[in-house]
Amino acid sequence: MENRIRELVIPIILILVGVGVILMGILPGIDSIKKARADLEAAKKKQSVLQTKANVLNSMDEASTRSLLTIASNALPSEKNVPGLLAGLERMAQEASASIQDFSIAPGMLATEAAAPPPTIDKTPAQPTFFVSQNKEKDYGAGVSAIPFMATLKGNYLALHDFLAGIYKVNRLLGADSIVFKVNERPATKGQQDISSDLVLLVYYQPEVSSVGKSDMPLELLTEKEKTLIQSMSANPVVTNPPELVPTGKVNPFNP
Amino acid sequence: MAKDINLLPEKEVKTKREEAAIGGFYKLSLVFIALVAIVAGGVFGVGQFFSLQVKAVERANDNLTSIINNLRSREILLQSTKSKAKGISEIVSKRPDFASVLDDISGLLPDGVQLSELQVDRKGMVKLTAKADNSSSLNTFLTALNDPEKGGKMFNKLTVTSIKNDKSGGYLVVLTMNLIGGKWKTG
Repeated sequence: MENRIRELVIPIILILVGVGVILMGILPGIDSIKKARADLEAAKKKQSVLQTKANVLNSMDEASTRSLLTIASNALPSEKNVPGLLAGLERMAQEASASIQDFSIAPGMLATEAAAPPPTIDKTPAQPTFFVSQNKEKDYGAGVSAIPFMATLKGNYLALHDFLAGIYKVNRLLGADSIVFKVNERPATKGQQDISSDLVLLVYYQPEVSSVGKSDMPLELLTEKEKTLIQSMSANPVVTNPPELVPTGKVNPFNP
Repeated sequence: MAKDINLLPEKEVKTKREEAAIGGFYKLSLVFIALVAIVAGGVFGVGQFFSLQVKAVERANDNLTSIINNLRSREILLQSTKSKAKGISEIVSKRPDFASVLDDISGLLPDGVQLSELQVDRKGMVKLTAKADNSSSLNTFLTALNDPEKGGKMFNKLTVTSIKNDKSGGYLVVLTMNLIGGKWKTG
């Protein structure tokens, strides 16, 4: 009986060793192969993205892209710079035979967020909320914000209409949030219809991209449609010429 | 010559069967360990193959990454331009065209009706005050606004807020409505 048991020891050990190798070596090995295959697939995908990206960046026409960026930045600047725009809007109004009577920008709109006044509770009696502007730092999509610009224009209907139509055809992206047209009961010139218009114009801007993605992030290329759109902006009349700078420095700061 | 096992004594028969069973078990264990060894070798080999492949591709990726890092300024340029292009497309496609609204409303005004006040906001809410010389003109105007082929294509929720006589014998009407169609788009 003992002999029989002794004869069984070797095959049992062999089977146990085999089972051990399966459990400790083969099964983890298969898992490693699966993982290595997945890693290989991922690495190949990454390689494909990197290769495409490297090819695109190598063959990119830097000069023409820079030129597009210049046009696009004029249309949609990264900052809330408006000084050049004031003169441009006045010129547009004059060209349309209208006159701008009043300009204003809500406090805090040109400053940084920290400088903006704290929100206040409106304690005035209930008013129709028809034209309450909701545009403070609103996101208009694709990271675009706008500065609401209140303006009062005067002129005849056609002049105001032309001005309003003109804001969509300039080199800087402008829009309107609301319009109020009113007929003046007492026109400045007898026999001529005078209309005043309170407009909330929107001056769009888009804060700068703060960081670029990882090197293996796929590149988003400019489509032909986008290139054409940007180029079409350069064909529009210029409304944002940088203001002409005059010499500075005075002895008496209260002198004109 | 082999003896018939059935002719052997019972004890010897049992012994012979046990020996055969143990022999079979022994062979089976050898076959099993051999198969395990072959499979383990295969797994190791395949594992090494994939591991080497991954390393080779990763080396190529490192080279490409360094090429891309050298072209980072171009990437920033492209990304900035793309971002601006998206912004411009978004605004151009969505900003409401107020001038066209004025045209649409003008097209619905009959003789004898004139606007004295017009308000339009970005959400497409319109409030207008109109003077009508007589009830016929007023009726024509309201009919045009409601006509599915005319005003109905551009506005909905037309509400007559008030109608009153004015000093000249005409009517002063205040209307509110919502822009829905035509060239109007909200953004």
